Amino acid sequence: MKKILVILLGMFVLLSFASLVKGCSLSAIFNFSSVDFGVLSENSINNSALNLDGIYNATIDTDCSYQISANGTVFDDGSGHTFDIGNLTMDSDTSPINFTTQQGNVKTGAKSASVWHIANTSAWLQKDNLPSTICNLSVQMYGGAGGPNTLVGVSIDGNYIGQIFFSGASAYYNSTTSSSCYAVTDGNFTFSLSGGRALSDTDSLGDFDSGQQVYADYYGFTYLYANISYDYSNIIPKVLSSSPQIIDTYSSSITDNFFGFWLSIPAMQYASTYSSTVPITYANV
Amino acid sequence: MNKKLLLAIPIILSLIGGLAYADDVNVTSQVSKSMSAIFQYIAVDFGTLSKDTVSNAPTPDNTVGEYNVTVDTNYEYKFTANATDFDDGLGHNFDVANLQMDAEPVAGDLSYVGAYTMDHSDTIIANNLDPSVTTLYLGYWLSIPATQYASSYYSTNSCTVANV
Repeated sequence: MKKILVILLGMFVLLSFASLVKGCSLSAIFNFSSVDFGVLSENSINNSALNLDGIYNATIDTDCSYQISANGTVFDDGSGHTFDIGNLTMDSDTSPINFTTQQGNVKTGAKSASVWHIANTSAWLQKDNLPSTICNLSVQMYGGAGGPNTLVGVSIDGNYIGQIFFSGASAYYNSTTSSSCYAVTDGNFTFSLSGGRALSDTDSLGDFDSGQQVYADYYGFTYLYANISYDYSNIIPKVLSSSPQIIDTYSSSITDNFFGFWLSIPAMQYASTYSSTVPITYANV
Repeated sequence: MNKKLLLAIPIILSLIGGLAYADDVNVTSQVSKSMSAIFQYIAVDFGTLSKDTVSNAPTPDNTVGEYNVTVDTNYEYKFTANATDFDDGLGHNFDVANLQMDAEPVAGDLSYVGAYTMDHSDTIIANNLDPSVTTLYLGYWLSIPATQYASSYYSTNSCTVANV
């Protein structure tokens, strides 16, 4: 009996030691308990809560990486009217300022002779200024083609945006816009052209970071102008559903999490006051 | 001894396992009322009527659905109306109370029995209509006083669709 007791005591010490070495401690203090969007109109999208005020935040104390997950219930007015939780999106970040969405720089360039390039006259997007996400990219081009009709494909970091059509030899203007969002993972993105006529690899690429110009050697154009605009944001909000999904994962050094919430109201949604319960969960990973 | 062992195990397991914290956030929003109404008619013509007649219907008849308004709203709404006295511009007139109105989601349900007598001030013709009612039909009836002077008479009928 005494031997068994010693063995059990030894196991207890070992397991306790192991837990001290490998275990994770985590505490999360939620500094808010509600999000009030106020009065919204039906058929409106991505209405922002008071995200930039930084009032939706939590303080974390942990010694391991952790992840935030969330889900939500259907929005309900308690009188039989509802709308889907998928109308609510949320995201987290280390600073509330990152919840802003801004209009990106508009880049303008002009071609001379047979070589088109976006001039350096406007302030180029530098590496340290690049956002982590670019949305609603729009590329507008204006030019006169020396040859037959031409289609020019436009890509950002290999993501095909769309194509721009130029007809004939006369001056022609056209544009393409993508409503998608693209992650900028390395602090810069590359604008590239491809299309009806071959563009050489070296001439068809322009790196916003290193080259600070975009150019394409295209003999068919006698002149060509381009405008590039975009919205940028540091966030890609996650659409909530009834089941938990991961919002973000952070290292233990990140101790302050700020949350952003956006709500869309379906068309002709019954005028009433709706509420949803959104459980937010912190867990070590 | 066994009691101490039983107590020790859950403590150890809780130290080894990952921890989780959760909190419920209450998200609220008030959706505002919205309303648009498009009247699909601009005039009601009763044609030629005889004096000393009651509840004459216009042409075309009310139940055909000629007089209707298209409503797009996300909340219950009401239909109100007022009108001016009938006047021929030559000094002859008769009281607006000779005009009756009804409003129904189905044109066939329009009835003089349920109609409201018009007045210079607003009268609620239909109330608490469900927003799913996107077409509201109106019915008109006109009575002519016994000694009314023979002429052409006009009245301006002001109709309002509004959320309750």
